[in-house]
Amino acid sequence: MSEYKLETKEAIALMVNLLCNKLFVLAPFYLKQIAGNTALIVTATFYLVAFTLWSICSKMNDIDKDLLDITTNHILRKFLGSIIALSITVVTILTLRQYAEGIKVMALQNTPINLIIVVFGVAMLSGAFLGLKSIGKTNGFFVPLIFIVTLILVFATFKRKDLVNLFPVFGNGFGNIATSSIIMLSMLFEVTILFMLPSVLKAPGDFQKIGRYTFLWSGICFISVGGIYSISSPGHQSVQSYEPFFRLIKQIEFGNFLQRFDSFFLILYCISAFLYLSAMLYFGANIFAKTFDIKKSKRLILPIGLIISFTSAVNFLEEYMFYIVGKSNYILWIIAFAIPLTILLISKLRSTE
Amino acid sequence: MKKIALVLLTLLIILTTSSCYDSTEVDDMIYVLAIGVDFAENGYYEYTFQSAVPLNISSGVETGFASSEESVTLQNIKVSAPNLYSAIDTTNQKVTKEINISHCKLIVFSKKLAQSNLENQLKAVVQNTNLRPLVYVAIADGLAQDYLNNISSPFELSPARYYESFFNKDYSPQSFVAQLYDFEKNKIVAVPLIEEDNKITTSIIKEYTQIGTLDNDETVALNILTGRFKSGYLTVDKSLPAIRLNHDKMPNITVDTGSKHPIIHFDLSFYGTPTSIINNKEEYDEVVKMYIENLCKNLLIKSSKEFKADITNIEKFVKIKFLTQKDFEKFNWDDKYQNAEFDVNVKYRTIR
Amino acid sequence: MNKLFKILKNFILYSVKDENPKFQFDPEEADTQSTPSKDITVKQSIEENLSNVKDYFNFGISGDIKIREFKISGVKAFILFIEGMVNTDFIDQNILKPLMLHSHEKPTKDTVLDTLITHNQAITSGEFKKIASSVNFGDCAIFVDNVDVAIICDVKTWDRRGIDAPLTDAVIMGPHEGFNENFKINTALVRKIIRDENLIIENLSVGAQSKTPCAFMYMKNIANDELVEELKKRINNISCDYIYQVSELEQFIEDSSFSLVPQMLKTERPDKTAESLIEGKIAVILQGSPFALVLPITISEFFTTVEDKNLRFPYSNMIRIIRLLGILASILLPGFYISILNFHHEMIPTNLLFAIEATREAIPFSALTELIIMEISFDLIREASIRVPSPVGSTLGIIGGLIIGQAAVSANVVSPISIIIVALAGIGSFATPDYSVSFGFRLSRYFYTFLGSIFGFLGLSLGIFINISILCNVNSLGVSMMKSLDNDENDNIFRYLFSYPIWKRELRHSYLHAKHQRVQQHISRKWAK
Repeated sequence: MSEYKLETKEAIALMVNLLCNKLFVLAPFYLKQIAGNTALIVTATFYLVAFTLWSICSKMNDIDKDLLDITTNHILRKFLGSIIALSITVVTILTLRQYAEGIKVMALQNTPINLIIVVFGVAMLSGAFLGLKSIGKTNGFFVPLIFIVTLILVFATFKRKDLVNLFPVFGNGFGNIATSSIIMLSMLFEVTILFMLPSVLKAPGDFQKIGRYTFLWSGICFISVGGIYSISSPGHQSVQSYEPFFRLIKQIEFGNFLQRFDSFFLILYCISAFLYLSAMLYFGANIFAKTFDIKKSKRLILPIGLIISFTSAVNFLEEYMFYIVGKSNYILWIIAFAIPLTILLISKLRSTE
Repeated sequence: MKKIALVLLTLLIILTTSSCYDSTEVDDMIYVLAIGVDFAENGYYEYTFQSAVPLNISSGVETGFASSEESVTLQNIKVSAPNLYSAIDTTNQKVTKEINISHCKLIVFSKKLAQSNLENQLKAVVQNTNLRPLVYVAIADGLAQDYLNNISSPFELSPARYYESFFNKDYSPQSFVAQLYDFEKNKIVAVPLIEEDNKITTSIIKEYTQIGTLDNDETVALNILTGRFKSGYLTVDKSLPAIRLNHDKMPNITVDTGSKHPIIHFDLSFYGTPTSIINNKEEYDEVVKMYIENLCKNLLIKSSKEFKADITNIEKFVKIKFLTQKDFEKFNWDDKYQNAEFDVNVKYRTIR
Repeated sequence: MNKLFKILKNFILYSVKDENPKFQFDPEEADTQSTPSKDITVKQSIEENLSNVKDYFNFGISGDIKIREFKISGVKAFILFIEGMVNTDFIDQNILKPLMLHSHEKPTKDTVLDTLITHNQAITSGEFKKIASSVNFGDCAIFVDNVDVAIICDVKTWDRRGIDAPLTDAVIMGPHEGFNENFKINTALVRKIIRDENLIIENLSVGAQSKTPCAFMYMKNIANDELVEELKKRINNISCDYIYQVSELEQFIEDSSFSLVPQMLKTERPDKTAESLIEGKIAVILQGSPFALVLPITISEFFTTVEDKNLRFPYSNMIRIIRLLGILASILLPGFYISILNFHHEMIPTNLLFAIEATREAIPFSALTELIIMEISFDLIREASIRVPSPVGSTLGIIGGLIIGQAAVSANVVSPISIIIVALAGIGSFATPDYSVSFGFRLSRYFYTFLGSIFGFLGLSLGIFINISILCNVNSLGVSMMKSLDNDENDNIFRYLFSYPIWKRELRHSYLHAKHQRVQQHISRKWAK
């Protein structure tokens, strides 16, 4: 039986989910902390920067090949593959922990966090184990729904807009905007997976189209959510909450009946978490297998999944998680954008020689 | 097949032997509808938790509800504690069920407490995930527990509905709404002050302390200047008929920061219908226009000279003029406002 | 006195008499006597044939096997049939009478078949296997001396149910004809609708011993050959002695036996079957079963009825939305209720919360227990009502409503709100058009309730995610049941959820890879120019 290949729209839905997922956890928090009043400008800036970098990379890319196929040097290939697989694993660990802690604050306050991580781990493993077909189709089914409902919920908070949060326009100066944009590029770390997609696509010729639509839809989501979060949520940074989206949704009130949507938001939160985690685990295992020429990547899913679950359950993370996430933002953009750009440049130069 | 069965069995065992930590039955909780905070002895605070007795509400034992010692539909539980959370703990000790504040509609502070410092109280509740940011905040003229003990209404079955309707009156220009959300947003908040027989005036809270009160007319002016005024009846003069006033559009506020003292221009636009026949329309229009202008100007001067606080939140129109945060902080709006000049222009027309 | 002694003796010296040992079936060895292979051919000699026939058909033991010996112009012959399955008048008038009275010369194989037997369906066969399967299905076999074949005539007749309205697939605006147990009549009903020579109805046989006739239908100029070959291969490669019902056949040929969702449609309606054939699907009808199997399908088939195509565009969409809500309620509503009640109290409006709390105050059970009790009672009533005799049927409805509805609430055993939830979920499951899939939904409802009671919305989301992920891997004859989002004009998500006006339904479903994609011209209403 031939292996399943992703259709175009499924790939777009998958990438939109991977990129926009951080909005449900800590992205608005970091945005506000780093960018302050200039959140909207910074979001638009870093998105444009990311799109430009991606366009440059995709023009240089051969259609059928992903990043690992392009690197012909064995050592470099192994090095690159390990870095990418390792960073995907680390990001998944951190995100899993963020999700579990978020749920703990929002709904299940007395449940031990290890049990919540078990639930997420089960979903992650079963989603990844069932293969690319199930990942592609579930993303294709859920992501448009989640996207539309998220936008509706976010725009519903617009009633409490306070446009003064956008001013002064340039905030703490251009320097701050520039550094914030670069750091926030790390929020789009999952672009790495976009570079690895060509080998699993049914129509590899649609790669550029997939990238464009991904950036379009996730850009709409990021800018709306990030922008509206900075507009509708209160201005003081001291009252910022670690569950920014949840606090945002609590403000929705239309009449006496249309309120209290924050618990309903939990369903979206959980499903998008499961989709994200299973996709990341699958691609991490795949990249690892491809790097080290392991034939059956399915056998790696269980060990890597267990490593991810157990590591995120470690208590050490409780104290240092925000610190680690904050610091990792300084590094991840290099792996997502700088390294692929370098490699593609080198291979392009080589091929022209 | 055996492996799958083993995995499923393990999962089932994990799920069933770990108890449902957060699963609580609805009838194991007391849902607090209002919280009252007063001063108590030894630096403690007296918390009053008002909750409803669901059995008696839904069976319609009484028409309407009343809070009193003999009431069967409401219960007021008083405890003394250093902060809200230890008050909840102490109350849990005293009663048979667990206290749950996720359905709280109102937090009432006593006037004395508002005049001293509300910082500890408000900061404790603003970040709470159980308390929604849309909880109403009010100040009672006297003790909060007296207010909670004396509320009654023949029109509603439960106080939940009562609080939702009482504190959210878009249609009444003489009342102002304050929610917890406003304390996160602004440093200066206008909070309803409830006097005896449910008469509401407005109290101004700046940085968690009450700095002054506004009477009914001033509250109307505050509503007009902040754009919350939609429509209402206005009595301009005792000899003239009352007028049904509607606003045409949102107030247009511009700030002139070039001169030594900032000049703030308000452009307001209304239309109205007198409630009975008037003889001289132009004269009447002029009288109404002057009335509104004087009303607004008096409030602005009071806020600038007496309160020394920007209660109408003109700061946001000033912030627009600066490009960076540093420039705005250098400008020091708080000091400049005390010497600001106000220019209120009202456009009014009578329609029949 | 003697009697007294006897009684005392029996009383004191009482011992258990040896009763006849009860029959216990526990053979030490399996009975390995195999039946001899019955691979016999028709011989020239009539005596040999007669003896073989008597042996083969257990004549004398089976009371309904009849053999009538007669002569055709002095030559010995006999007819073999099964009483109760044949039209005896027809045999007398069209077979025995011409053979016995109107033959004037020695019969040969050709003359008997060509000139003497006045019946429209007569064939010859020399194999006893073939003769036996025909006779067992209501044919008669004529053996003639010095002829090495038997003549088989189709004279079957037996009492059967007429064409009634379908029980499971009822519609209001549509035909009220349904299949019955005779597969020839069923195929005729379908042929009556399609009236196209490209409709192929192949006769297959399933079951080594039962040899149940099976009609395999498809459109030659539309259906994909690969699908047809695959299904035929599956049906022909079932190694089983007896298959009587189409449900058994379904379980033999489905892709995944453990999935909660069936992978083929079972319909009682000829119009639905015909429509599916025109789309490019394949239908299988089995003798003795009033259902036709239609495959391949996707999950959207479970949400649509024939009525969606018969109603006008606005009405059909309204009905579809309500039906979808009903289906969602039947799966998720109890789980949703229990999650909110146990974990997410802040989601309930305050006045409703007080109402629920007041009703639950006196109930001794937890919310989950109460819900499970109600669900099981509801399923019990549903199960009992299928088998209840009709005079008692209405009483059962009253008892069910009174006991469970009114009395249980008054006795504070259950709360009214859980009755409402369970009733809504039950009504939702009745709104599901397909009977088989409603079982799957009912089963999954228990899982969701269980998960919702442990983890709240987290558990519910986990259930939804795993359910849909598993469903993505389920195939129906190799076609994935969850279709992708691809931008086919006829395969996008709107086409699943909503119905289109009839002049917009131009193309067939692309997953069938039919030979002709287009059903209508782009402008099908030429008068509207």
